Amino acid sequence: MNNGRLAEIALTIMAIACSAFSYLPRESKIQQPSTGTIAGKVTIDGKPSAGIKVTLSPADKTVSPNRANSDIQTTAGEDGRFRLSGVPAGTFVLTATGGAYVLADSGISGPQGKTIILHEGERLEDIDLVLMRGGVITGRVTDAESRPLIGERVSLQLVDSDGRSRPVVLTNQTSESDDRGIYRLYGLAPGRYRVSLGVTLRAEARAPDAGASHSYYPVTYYPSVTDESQAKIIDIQGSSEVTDIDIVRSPGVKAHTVAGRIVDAESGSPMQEVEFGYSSVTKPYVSRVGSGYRTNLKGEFSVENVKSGRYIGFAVLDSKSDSYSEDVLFEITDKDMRELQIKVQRGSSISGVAVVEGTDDPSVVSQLSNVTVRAVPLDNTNTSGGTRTTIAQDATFHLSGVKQGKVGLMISSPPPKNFSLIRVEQNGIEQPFDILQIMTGETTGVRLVIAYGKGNIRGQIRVQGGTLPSGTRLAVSVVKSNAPARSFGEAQPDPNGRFVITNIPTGDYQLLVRTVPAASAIIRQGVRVDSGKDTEAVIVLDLSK
Amino acid sequence: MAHFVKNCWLASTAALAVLVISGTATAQQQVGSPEPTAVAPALVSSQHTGTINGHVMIDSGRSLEGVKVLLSQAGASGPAHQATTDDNGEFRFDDLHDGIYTVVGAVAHGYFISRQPTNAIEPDLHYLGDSINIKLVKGGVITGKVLDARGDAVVGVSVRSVRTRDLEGLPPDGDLETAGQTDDRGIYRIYGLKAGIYVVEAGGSRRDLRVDSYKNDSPTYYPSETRATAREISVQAGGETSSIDIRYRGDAGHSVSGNIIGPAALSPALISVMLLYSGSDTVAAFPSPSSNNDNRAFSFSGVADGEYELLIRVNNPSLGQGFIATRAVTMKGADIVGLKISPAPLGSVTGQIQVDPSVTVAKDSKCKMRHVLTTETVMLIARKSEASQSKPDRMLPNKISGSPNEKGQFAFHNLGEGIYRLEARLPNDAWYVKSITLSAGPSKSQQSGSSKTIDVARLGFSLKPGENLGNLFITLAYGAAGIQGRTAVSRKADSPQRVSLHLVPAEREFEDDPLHYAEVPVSGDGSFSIGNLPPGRYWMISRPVFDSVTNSVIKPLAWDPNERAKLRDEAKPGSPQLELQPCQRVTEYVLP
Repeated sequence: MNNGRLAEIALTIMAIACSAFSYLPRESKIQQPSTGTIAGKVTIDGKPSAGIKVTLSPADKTVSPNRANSDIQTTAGEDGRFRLSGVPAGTFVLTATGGAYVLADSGISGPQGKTIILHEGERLEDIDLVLMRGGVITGRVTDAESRPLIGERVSLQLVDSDGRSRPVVLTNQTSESDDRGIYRLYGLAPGRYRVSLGVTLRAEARAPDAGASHSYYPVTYYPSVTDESQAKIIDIQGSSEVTDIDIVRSPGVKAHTVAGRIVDAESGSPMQEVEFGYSSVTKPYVSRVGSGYRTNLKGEFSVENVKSGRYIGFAVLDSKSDSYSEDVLFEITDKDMRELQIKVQRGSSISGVAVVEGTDDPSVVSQLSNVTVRAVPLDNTNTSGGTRTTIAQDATFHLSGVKQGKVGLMISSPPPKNFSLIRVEQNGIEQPFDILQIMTGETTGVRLVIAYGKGNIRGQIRVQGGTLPSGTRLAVSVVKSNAPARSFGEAQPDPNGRFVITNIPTGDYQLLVRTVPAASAIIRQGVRVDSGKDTEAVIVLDLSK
Repeated sequence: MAHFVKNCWLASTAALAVLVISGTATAQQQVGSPEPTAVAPALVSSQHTGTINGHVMIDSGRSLEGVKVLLSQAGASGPAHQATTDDNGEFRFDDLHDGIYTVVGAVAHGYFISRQPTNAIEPDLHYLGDSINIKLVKGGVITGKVLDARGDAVVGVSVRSVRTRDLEGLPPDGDLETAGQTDDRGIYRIYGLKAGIYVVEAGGSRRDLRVDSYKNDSPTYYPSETRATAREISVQAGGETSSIDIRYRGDAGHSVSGNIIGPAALSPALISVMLLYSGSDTVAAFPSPSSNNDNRAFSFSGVADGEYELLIRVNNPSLGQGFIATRAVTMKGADIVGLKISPAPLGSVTGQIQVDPSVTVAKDSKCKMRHVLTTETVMLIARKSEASQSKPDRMLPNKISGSPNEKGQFAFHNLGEGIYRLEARLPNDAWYVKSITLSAGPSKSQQSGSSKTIDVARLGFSLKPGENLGNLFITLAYGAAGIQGRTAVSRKADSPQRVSLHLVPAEREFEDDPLHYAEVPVSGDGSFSIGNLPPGRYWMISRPVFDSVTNSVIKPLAWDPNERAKLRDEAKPGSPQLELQPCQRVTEYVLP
């Protein structure tokens, strides 16, 4: 029998074992939880480094800043060794300060700190932090007339091999230019970066200073372009210092007036006292805002100080309205837009009932009245034909002003967010992907099947038959077998391969383990999540296959 | 020279002649029978809203766009109004309620507001419809490196420059501390600084309470000292002071902790606790955030040996009162724990402005000016007339200003004990302050059963610790007079740089009434302008000002009875006397 087969059998046994294994909730103990220790060594460029401050902070960032005292700090000794004592159970991030340094090994962790999960009273040893001097990007920012821009914020994006970028947050340094226009960003992990100037433009809700002539500056990327795809990428390898990354701010764009009318689509008559809204389409999903300007008796509106760009305009309608607004695409280049016409259409309605699967408990069912149901039209990506309502006391719901066509249903509940939508049925038939086909008039007989409660998964990934190549780490996510793209939770395992994913709605799922960046090894393993419980799962990743 | 003098005399004689003629004409008119329709001047609340706009430029004359201008209504609480200058450097505030406004800030990175020396003490007051010109000056720079004992760069440590005095040696006004941070080479750069003398400190607790590795250390001062031996450096506007390198000590220092007790500690309350260097206004440490959200407990870490002053200010809305406490703390190599501080209450005064009904104006008299005064545009200033000796009061402002509400009521809160004077700044020159009185209650007074009226204009009002005084009345009257003119400017080398002009009442009945005295500085070109004067007869004398203007309590000489007597003595023999009628405006007056 070859190793592969053995592994397969091992995996199968594990899978069966784990899906049948559920942790019972712990009994509450009325005693002081015992604390543990975390110890290891800090080295910089291979040599032990003394005097580096090592900080253990709770991974839960929702803790208020006043609780900074829950950080545990110690200083590495002459041999680079450190020991943190009195650590309570929990999930933490271990960092070494000296903002100029970054973690050199990526192992099964992210670049800025090691994620550590400590169980009660556990003593972890040999948690080594290998640091190297981070990269530096520095340069000068000026306006179009070569004058230095003072106090200007410079932003960084990290670009991955697929071309996707995410913003980089630098801690404990100012990312602003000084009085000479010079900025310096340090402590950068190796990678490919875009540098830019200026904050993202947002469609303003209300014209700030009416009548004044304000220029607005779009985001400018190094060296001097406004198009992100044309920005020059800066490659940081090892501890390089890249200088002369000078950015010249693009010339400002003037703002203009948008004016028009809102009318009823069928009769053509003007609609009074309706608020005009607009949102930018040049940036991916910007939330829709009203302009604060309402139509007059003739149905006319006028908004000043709108920056150049492409927008959609719409009428802001109450969610109880029977109608929905058309979206009109318009573009502001170098002059005012005067003739924008927005039509308001009569919409359809959806009505039905909501049920909680698996329980008739009245205390649970009564909480349904906190749940909001939303209908989102799917035929166009940006449309205001969406509407929402709250489930009534008798568990029925009614949505009005829905745009005809393909409509997706979603629910949301206030914290602690105990409800999630399992499936949508219409007249007894399950609607795939929770999508209904809406015609004119009323759509009835809709049944929302909702799950109550959330549980946790505590897992362990065991890597055997080799070690992961350097530069790769693992990632775990929780997905539904029929909807693999929708994630119910994600985690990165700690150096020991342990992970915790919380707040997963009850139900049957698959654990998906993959390597990052190159998704070369993938494991799927079934798991069942029960309300209020911790489910244990062990996954074996056999690299010898 | 003779030519000039002759012309001067001709002009002044002519002016006097005009005055006499116009004066008698008015007098004749008033002697006649009163007009049947008299106008009653009135004090009202304004329903108006309006605009204040302006322009910002830098010293090179260039307009600056993107400057955040902050405008605050005098005496109003709440955030300041904000506007940003456009491409032409212009800004505009619309929909402002009627009232008095001051520019509290013009924020442009690297610059600060330039103030003219004469206006250094009091900010300019603005009313609706005003156009404000703001000039910004490029700030100075301090830069250097922070290294540790081994010569390695200290990365990401907060470095702060603290201004101890300005270049003329005077205590600084505002904007004391500016902060920067070292980069990966240990280099820091602080810019936008006002000219002055500074010390530079690295490490220690931060004002923004952000957590870094150095927050529990005792701060190190340039070059490698504690505060007592810190070396001072000088910074010029637009200049760069470099190589200010600090050898970081990273001393642990010790801690100071304690609790606030007493009525001040009744929650909810806004509590501010700071540790200051003894005898100065500079902060030595900010408190560590409390772990259990109990803001009545405080603790400081990283306190080096030395003398400090603990300052605690409490504002307790449920009691409607403020509290203050200071405690001298001496740190000598050991933690100080268990301090118990009970802050003492601060006092307040409330009152009302009103119009003197006996002053009515004949309809076709010279008084054509605004008969109506809006309450919100009257600015009242309570000023301590003697700097108090006791420690806590040194921390309180010497001057508080505010405006009455729409009913003409006003209040000043959070006042320390002491003797105060009230002044009014009136928005138009048609009005003057007739009297300021305090009617004390009948209980506990010498004259039992009757209420005493204290002439606050003459004596000020006295506040005991935590006392809440009521019934202050400020009576305004219509028909103020004004004088504009110039004094002869002496070109002699030893003549004083600054001259003040004093008006001294010539009538006996007013000789002890400070409201009938006026004092105004004369500009460099000799011109002066005095308004809001009660009608009457006055002597005019000019006095040299040899001492430089300080930031301590500015006292009009007329508050002091001895000074009043001295002024009268100086005025009597042969000084020019001026008779001012209601609403009279004297222009082009020349004082020899």
